[in-house]
Amino acid sequence: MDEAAVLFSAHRDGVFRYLCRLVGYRHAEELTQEVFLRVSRGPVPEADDARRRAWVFRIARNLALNHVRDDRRRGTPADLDDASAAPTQELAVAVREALGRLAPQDREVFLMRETAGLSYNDIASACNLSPDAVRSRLHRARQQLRDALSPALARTQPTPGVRLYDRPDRE
Amino acid sequence: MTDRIENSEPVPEQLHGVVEAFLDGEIVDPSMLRNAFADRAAREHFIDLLIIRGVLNRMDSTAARAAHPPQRGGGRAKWLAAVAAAAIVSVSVGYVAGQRVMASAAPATVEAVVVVDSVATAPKATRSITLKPGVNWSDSPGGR
Repeated sequence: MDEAAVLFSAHRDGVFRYLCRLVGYRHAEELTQEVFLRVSRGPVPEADDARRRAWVFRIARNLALNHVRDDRRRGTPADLDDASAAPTQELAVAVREALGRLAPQDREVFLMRETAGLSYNDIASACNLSPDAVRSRLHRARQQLRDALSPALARTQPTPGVRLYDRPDRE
Repeated sequence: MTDRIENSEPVPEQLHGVVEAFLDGEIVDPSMLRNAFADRAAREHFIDLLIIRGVLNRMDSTAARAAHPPQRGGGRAKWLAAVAAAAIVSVSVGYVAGQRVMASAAPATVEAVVVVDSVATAPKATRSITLKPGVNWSDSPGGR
């Protein structure tokens, strides 16, 4: 298996989840394919797994940003009202709306951490930020989400089986 | 769900940062973590973030199922069809190859050549029989 194929099998789901939150799932699949098409075309950097993962997510982030920018130029609203949300659950709807209100870069950092499981260093590398800046943006995003979701959180029972850490097999 | 504290004193950002780092699997100082979890507001912060993570995980699972619906009968049928096609091709190729091998390995035809270099002559008679009608010869109907 060549390096691009290894990266595809390792990070396809994480990239897809990340893109789902940024551009909606209808476009996320197409963009995920584009990400790995670019991965297969370009030389894979000779680096450790963490840096390669950051490289893949940097491609995904750039493609998502271009997609959102193009949508704005065309006047097409970002399609985030998708099947990836569970509309019957109040908290899920609230989370989706609260995510939409975050500053774009805070949202990117938060999603890379929460949906793709990147470490602070990986996110810093993918977003051209320092690890401290990542920590700061992550904290701000979480605080804003928590404030926005406070009423819904107060009525929610903790979900059984929430995993504290990402296991390697999640990626 | 955690209890809400109204009008509580602001929690130091540092305590939130510590529980967030712990939540994210980053390296944390155990004594700082102990201090952070001793603080009720920091504990609530931690639990709320855990709930948000759980919601996001469920949303992501829903998205993954929507994008990659599980293959039930279709996937199995395609797999079986592929196996059947491969078997047919294998048998056909084997048959043709076998025919070719047999043709090339068959023994060459043996031709027996008899050379006749003289005209054969019948042997001389050793006994002569004379047939006379009515004596030792009779005609019968039917050609007998």
